[in-house]
Amino acid sequence: MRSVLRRVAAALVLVWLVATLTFVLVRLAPGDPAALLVPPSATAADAARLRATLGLDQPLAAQYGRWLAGVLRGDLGDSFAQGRPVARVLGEALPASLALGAASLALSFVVGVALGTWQAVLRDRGTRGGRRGDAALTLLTTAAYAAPSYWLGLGLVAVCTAGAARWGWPSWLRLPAFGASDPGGTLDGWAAVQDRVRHAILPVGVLAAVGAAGVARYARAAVGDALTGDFVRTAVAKGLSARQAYGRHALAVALPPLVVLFALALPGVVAGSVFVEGVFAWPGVGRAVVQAVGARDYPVVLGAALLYALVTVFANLAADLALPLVDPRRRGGAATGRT
Amino acid sequence: MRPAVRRPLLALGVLAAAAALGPLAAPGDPLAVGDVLGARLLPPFATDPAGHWHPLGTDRFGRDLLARTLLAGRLSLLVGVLGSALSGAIGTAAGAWAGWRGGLPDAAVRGLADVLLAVPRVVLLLVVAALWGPGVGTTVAVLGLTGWMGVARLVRAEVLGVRERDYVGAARALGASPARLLWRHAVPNALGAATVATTLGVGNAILLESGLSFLGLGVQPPAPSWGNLIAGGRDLIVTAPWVSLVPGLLLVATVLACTRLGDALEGREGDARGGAD
Repeated sequence: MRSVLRRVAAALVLVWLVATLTFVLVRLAPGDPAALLVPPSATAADAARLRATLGLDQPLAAQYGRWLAGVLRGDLGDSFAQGRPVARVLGEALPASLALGAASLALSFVVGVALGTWQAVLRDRGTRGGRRGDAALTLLTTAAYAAPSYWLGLGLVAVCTAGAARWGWPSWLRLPAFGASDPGGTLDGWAAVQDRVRHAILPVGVLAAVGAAGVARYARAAVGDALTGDFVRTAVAKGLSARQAYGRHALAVALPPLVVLFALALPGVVAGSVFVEGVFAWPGVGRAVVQAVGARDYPVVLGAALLYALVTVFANLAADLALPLVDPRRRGGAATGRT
Repeated sequence: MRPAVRRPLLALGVLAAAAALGPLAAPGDPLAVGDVLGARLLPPFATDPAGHWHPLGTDRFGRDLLARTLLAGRLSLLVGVLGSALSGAIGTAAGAWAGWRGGLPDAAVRGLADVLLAVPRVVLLLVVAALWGPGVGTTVAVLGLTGWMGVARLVRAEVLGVRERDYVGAARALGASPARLLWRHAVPNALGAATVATTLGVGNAILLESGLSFLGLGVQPPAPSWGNLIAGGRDLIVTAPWVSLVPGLLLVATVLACTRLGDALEGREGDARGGAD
């Protein structure tokens, strides 16, 4: 237990260091956010007054101290561009991002693990056809892994809007490509749910395709290693069916690395959504960050960096702590308190 | 050379040669605005009024898309290779220093790596590129400064291992200075692993550069890069989808070749029983 607490403390220190680094990077950058905020007719005095209001005229150390004190109280400051609390700006965007991330992460794992396991079994057969099938699937997953998500997204938009109309596809395949819901907002009940699902299909599909390709690459290796293990051969020799040998023994060994991968994939999905949210005009954190960066909205950029750091650091910590729980070989280590 | 290594290397060579030489052979200046009214947004395999054949179509200013995509490849490949090389150099230096000195330098390097790994690289790139002025120089610098951690860890481990070897002890007994020991004995040993890791980073760096350029924060138009070509065709995706999709195809081919090369170098492609084909 004490070691868990120590690691949580270390994680918090790491988050603090990240926040400090981001603060320095952002505040030392050339350029003046006040110049972007004042109207073109404003005088130099107006800009100076605005800088004073925003606290930008104070020494860097004082600004840092004030910002950090605010963060510790849970106050991330006010957005320069929108004049609203940063916590509210990010809080409004977070549910959309979480929904997108959770759906695509779940789908990535289901599809990716299935694909990778299939490849490992094909390869394990050792026949010519098996090797060919594995090689073809590897090429497919590597290509999907190499494709930028925004490019895949644009391709899907072309196919599912203009393409679907031109080729006379059924109307349910003509998917909306922008936003998270119908802009009119007149739908309610079942129709509203349907509308949201239809809006989510393309962005979730793109993120899940790229994610599943990455998961499949790992799963193929992990399951492949497990299948060639001596204990599987022993189990088969003792008379277990292939299904039992694979399902019970091989999967038990292949699972722990995948659990870790799940936690480690979380930040990637969060970050990958920066592009996908932009392409599909999905009202999430990624889009908010891109907008804030363009507008030199320092408080929002800092708040988002803090959010990303928290997600990444605690996902890593969760992976560390979960590994002994799912992998009997790692037990008796840090998680039980005996270091 | 094994086929698994040779094939992607060959593909990358062809791509690089096409990017270097292709624009020279193309009709017309890929940067200049051409016959806008007659030749704009021609689909692939079309011929324009002047009689030029455009195998991949033209963009909104009537410029040949193949020539522009190859020209963009020069910058995208250059930024990817330079960014990755810079991260390799930083990682080798930081890893060697940390591994050799141990103690405080080691803790400092590892701490800094942990901090940089705690923010998604895309976000870090985005913030720095946007606030410090987008451009080729910034992109290379940021790619280098955010990508060195993996190389540093490898080199540190190698240097730690080499320190205890007998021949290093012998060299020390013969009076070699620490700098000479590090430079002549420890670093060359780690260079193989560092080179492989750096090569693996090229595909990722190209992908990140394209993402930044897509958001308008990387290579700035009119200089073409794959990312800003894709971004340039974004509003045409319904009427002239090839403007965005063609540059992406070349980008995917490049990153795919880099990943396959990386898999082959790390021995991941091989069959666990039969070995490589």
